[in-house]
Amino acid sequence: MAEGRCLLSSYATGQSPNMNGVCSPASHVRYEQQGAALVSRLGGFTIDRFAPGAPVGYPTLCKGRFVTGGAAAYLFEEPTSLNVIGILPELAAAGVTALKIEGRQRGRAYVKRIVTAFHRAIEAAARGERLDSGELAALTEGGRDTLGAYKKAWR
Amino acid sequence: MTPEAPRPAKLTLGPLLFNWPAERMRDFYFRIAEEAPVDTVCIGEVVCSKRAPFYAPYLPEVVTRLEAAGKEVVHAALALVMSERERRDLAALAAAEDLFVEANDLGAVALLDGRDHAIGPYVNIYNEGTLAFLARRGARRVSLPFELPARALAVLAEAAATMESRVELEVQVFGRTPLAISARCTHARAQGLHRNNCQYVCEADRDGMALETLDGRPFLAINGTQTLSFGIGNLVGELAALRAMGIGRFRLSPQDLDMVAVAEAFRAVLDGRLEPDAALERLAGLGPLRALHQRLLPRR
Repeated sequence: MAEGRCLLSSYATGQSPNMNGVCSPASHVRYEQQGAALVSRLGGFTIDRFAPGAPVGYPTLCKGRFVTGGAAAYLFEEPTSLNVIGILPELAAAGVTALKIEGRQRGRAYVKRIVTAFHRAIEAAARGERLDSGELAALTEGGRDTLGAYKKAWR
Repeated sequence: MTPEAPRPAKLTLGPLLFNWPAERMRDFYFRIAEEAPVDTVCIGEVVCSKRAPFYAPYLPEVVTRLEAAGKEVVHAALALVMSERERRDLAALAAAEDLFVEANDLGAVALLDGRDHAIGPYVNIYNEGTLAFLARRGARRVSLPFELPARALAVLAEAAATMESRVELEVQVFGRTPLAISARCTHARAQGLHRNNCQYVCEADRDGMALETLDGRPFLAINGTQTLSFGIGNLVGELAALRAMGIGRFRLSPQDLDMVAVAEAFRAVLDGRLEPDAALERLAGLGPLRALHQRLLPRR
């Protein structure tokens, strides 16, 4: 979704990035046990359903699973986190001198772990080493990460 | 100072957002020209530039018919401009000085600086300062963003009334509510396709493709790169309140139902010939979409 021009959160919860500085606000999130499955809801709408033991994600609206034509899928975006740790040397060579870490609507423990990992990776890159992104796997959405637009195939 | 007599409210038919077969679109506009009591008709592609080549050959005749019927024609610009070709097309549209163009992103706003134009509902306006800025640059008509609550509409209408540069305000009162636009095509993705090779699958859904939650609750509608509400917004019951705020124009967004009947119902309510409740009943009978509902304005 084009950012700053998306009203999905507004429609589902009455609160939005442009009006309230929040998307899919925690105040409107509910997790419900339905038999063996755990269901995540936003503003009363079911956003995803998780099998027992599966990693449970936050119900961000555009990363939900929905049904069209009888088939359920992650229709807008795969639940995944951008993670450039694996290409830090290339970014540095391209002239990047600052990195932005998402912190809004994230817990302090999450931010601490991500920032610490990136500090280590930056120091490693300065020594000419490359760290893989493995240690952050537990913190990524859906247990997966992506290089997003930095990967040519993304469209 | 004697109070000005209120100008009669005007109706705008918004741009067709969905991918209809070209002949069907042409015939739709021919009928609107002849039968629909609307003052203004927006044409042009707002959602996906890949659709335009199919119906572009018909547009000159559509414009001729609409203008011959006494309707003002507004040329709506694309809401999300991404490619070099789209930039060129936008620049050409903005440079056509005999056209009244509706900007739907800030690129178009920049290109239209200094000449009379309209601002569409995809341009973010959340305060009086932004409205005044756009009015100073030549915005004569502004269709306000779908997200604004009633209180914000009232504040903007009050501000517009005292602005040096006159600007007319419009609010969408009928049709699915556009909620998001993306560089990627959800319609194609749902069929396992990419936008580059989409096979124009969006053509199969003339009101958009229904999207339900995992437990079967209707939620949204997919229209190519655009996401809309599942429900059809219908503010026929709020027209009097919006008029009282100073909103002078109302937008009807085309859906695959009898839009002439929709326009007649709204016109009749605005003219005091039909009660809003009777209009609601009439609109609910227009099926096949059963999702017609009255969206109450949030009173935040």
